[in-house]
Amino acid sequence: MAEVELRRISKMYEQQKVVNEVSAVIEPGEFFVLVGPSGCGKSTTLRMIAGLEEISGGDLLIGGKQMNHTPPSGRNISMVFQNYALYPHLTVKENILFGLQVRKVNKQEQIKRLNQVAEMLGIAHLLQRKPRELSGGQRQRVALGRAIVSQHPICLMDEPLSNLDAKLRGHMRTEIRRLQQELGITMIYVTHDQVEAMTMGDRMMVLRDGEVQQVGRPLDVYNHPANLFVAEFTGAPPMNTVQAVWRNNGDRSGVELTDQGSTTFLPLGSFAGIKEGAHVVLGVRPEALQPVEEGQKAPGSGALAIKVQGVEILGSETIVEFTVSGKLWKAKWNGQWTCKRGDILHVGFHAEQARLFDGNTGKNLANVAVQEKGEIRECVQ
Amino acid sequence: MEAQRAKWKVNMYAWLLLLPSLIFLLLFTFYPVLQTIILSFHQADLGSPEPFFNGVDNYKLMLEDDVFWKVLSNNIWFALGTVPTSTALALGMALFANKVLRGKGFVRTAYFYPTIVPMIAVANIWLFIYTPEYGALSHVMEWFGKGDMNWLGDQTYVMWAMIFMVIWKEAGYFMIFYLAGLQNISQELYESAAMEGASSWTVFRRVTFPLLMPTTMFVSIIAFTNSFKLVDHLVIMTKGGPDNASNLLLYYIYETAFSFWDQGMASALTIVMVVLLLAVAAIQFFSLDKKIHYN
Repeated sequence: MAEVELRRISKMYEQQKVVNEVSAVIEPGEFFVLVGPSGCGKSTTLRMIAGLEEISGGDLLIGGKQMNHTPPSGRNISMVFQNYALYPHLTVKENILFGLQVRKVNKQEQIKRLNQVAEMLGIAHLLQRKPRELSGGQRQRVALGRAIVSQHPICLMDEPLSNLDAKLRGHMRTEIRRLQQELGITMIYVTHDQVEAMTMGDRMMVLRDGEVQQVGRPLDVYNHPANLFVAEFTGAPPMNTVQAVWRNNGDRSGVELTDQGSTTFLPLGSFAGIKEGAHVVLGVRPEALQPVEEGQKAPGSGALAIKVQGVEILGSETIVEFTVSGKLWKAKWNGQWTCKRGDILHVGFHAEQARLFDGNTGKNLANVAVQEKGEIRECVQ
Repeated sequence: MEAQRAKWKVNMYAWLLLLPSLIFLLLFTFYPVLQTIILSFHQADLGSPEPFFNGVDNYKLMLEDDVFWKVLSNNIWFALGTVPTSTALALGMALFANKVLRGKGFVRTAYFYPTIVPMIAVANIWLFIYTPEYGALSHVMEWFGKGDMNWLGDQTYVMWAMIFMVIWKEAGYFMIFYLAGLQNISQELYESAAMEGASSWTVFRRVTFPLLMPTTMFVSIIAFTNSFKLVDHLVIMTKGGPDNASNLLLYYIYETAFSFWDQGMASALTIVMVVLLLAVAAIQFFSLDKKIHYN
């Protein structure tokens, strides 16, 4: 079992820094997800761990040993590529055994491992086929098989599900997670899909422009986003946000929203350390916004009168769109709601479900306050 | 009725579009091919005022003709000398030109440039290189004490001299196909092999080479037909001599037709050459094709 440690790892392309001092300790047997929009440096970080990309600065330690200059094959890792990287002229069997043959593992052991892997992944009947005779999901399994058969303790995956259709993707998500847990391998998984990050990872690292935004367990990241970027990146639909001004008034403190001259005050209770009149960003998750009867306010919070702009009925839930201070917000309600465009509704949320971010830096103001007390672990920035 | 008219109209339109190229094809390809086949069964030389049918006499004479056998064996040696070497060299050059980090453009240009130079010019350059006593090669050979060799005048060396020159001329051209082939191979495959720790020889043997097989097949067929088609240099350098030691089938056909003016025999020779080329291409194509992976 090997622990992977990144110590302030950076990558420079000529003058451009694409990965900036990324640090993390990935525990043995952990499923660690690197997530972020395209171009955030997540793949580059993974490739630096793999040894396919040179590390410009910082240290990479695997099992406590510095690996910066060790070739990929010496790092005890296997990798699943985005396009699977199956050798098109070799059969499934030859593809899976390629690595073992290169490493001159004895024949009996090869066959034993091949059979194990084929059975585990349900590809025993495909062994004599060429990759082009396989469906996307089957190719994915073969690629997984090739990674597993090497029995390396660490497995890297670079957006392995991005070529599959939505249904298959959901299926493979659970399957990869199951395999990882059964085999107890350390998984470092790159994706741009926050759903994958949320559902698969033990912990996730959110990256943006080569900088770490937050590292933590998916639910911690979801519930306590370190900044506006993370808040808007996670969740489907993402967190609703709007510019507001903080009004200090003891227990009746709250934010003031301005919309075309008219102002609405939403009481949020006391937030330590925010100055009167400070520009903040209010963030509310779509599922936290619930419909309220007119005149009946949610406890400890204000209600907003909104005009419905659009409705998406998904069967099990309904997404209602409306604008708040010029920003498009979405509310997600269970069940099927038959409201339509132009309807006037009242929505409210519990004060503890509101998140406040600094209007300039975008940092989560609650986290800043709590961090000072040292209550939230693993929140970077 | 109406439908038939419409169909006829579409057909007519298609034929009209095809007509221009069809005229040229008929006039300059199909008609001459047919005429050549017909002529190969006729006696048509300076001694016969009108060509007359003589059955398979031309073919019979050909089989008894020592020069024919000489040029045919020359051509086979020429093909054996040029095809594998220029193909292998092209592959090597492509691998290098694809990998080299600095001066990629320069390396590619340097390798490719013999291809753009016309064969006639190349032949003149090499004529100078091979010139005894004051030629470039003679100067070099002098250092080894062998400056007196007459490369083009000696029956033992002349074929080697030709083969060497044609390899130099052709390899750069074939390299282009290999470069294109190499760029078609996904980088991920190499990275995947690197993760397994495969040596560069293993990667070449098990990944690159098999995936380049379609290119190899294409290049080898082109190289083979070229070894029968390329005779321009003979006109400049040796005229097939000395004593037909460097003569090739196509040049012999040209001599037969336009020096000896035996058009019947030249036609028969042409048919033999075409059939030979078709047969070899077919064997290459059908035997190798099943073993090749196409994307």
